[in-house]
Amino acid sequence: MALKRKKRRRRVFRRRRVCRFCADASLKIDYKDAKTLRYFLTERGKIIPRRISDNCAKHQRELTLAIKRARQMALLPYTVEHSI
Amino acid sequence: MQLRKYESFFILDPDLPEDAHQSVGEKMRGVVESGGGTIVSYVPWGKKKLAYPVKKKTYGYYVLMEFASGSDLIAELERNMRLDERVLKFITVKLDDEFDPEAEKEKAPRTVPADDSDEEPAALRRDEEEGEEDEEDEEDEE
Ligand SMILES: [Zn+2]
Repeated sequence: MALKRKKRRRRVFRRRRVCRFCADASLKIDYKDAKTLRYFLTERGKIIPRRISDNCAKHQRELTLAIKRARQMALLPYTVEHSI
Repeated sequence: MQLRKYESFFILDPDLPEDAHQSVGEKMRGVVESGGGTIVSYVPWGKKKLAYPVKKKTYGYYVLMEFASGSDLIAELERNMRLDERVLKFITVKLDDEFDPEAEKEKAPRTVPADDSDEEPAALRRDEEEGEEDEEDEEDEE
């Protein structure tokens, strides 16, 4: 942790949005609910980082745990191979 | 003995006949009850496509069992799951540190959730300008 993180040069303008789970209390994080979890995966099946999803740290943590459990139970893939 | 609330979600071999699925259920409920636990609900979710093959199977027969028990029973239940050839996969999650039978009565009966193969929830519509990125901060699997 000695190095300070290099400042991002990206100048893509994004609207500042809030965490979806904070904004909508009816939206629950459940490892058995693959439909909701899938939204937070890339096409390759990787977890979308919270700088993109705008999730707060707490909900991103819960989400990451839920996705890992869902993968363990074969509800979500670990990776998705692409035939290019 | 402190009773905690747990759920076990497990996948049975989908090619077994229905009575085999039922007998695994009876066995697992028996493990909980003979260890001093209480079954809160037992809901077969039925046959679902697996996200990746498990023991050469592309489908699995999912079951969700909620129960209350002491923490010492979990190892025994998981040992039974692991040794049973009819069980492809299982997970046990603690739902609550305390089991409250009164609160349980207020809850709606457990049912199989609606099929998740269709559209994503309305609250989660993806905005158009938002791109997906293959990122670097994903942790390794445990
Ligand atoms: Zn949040």
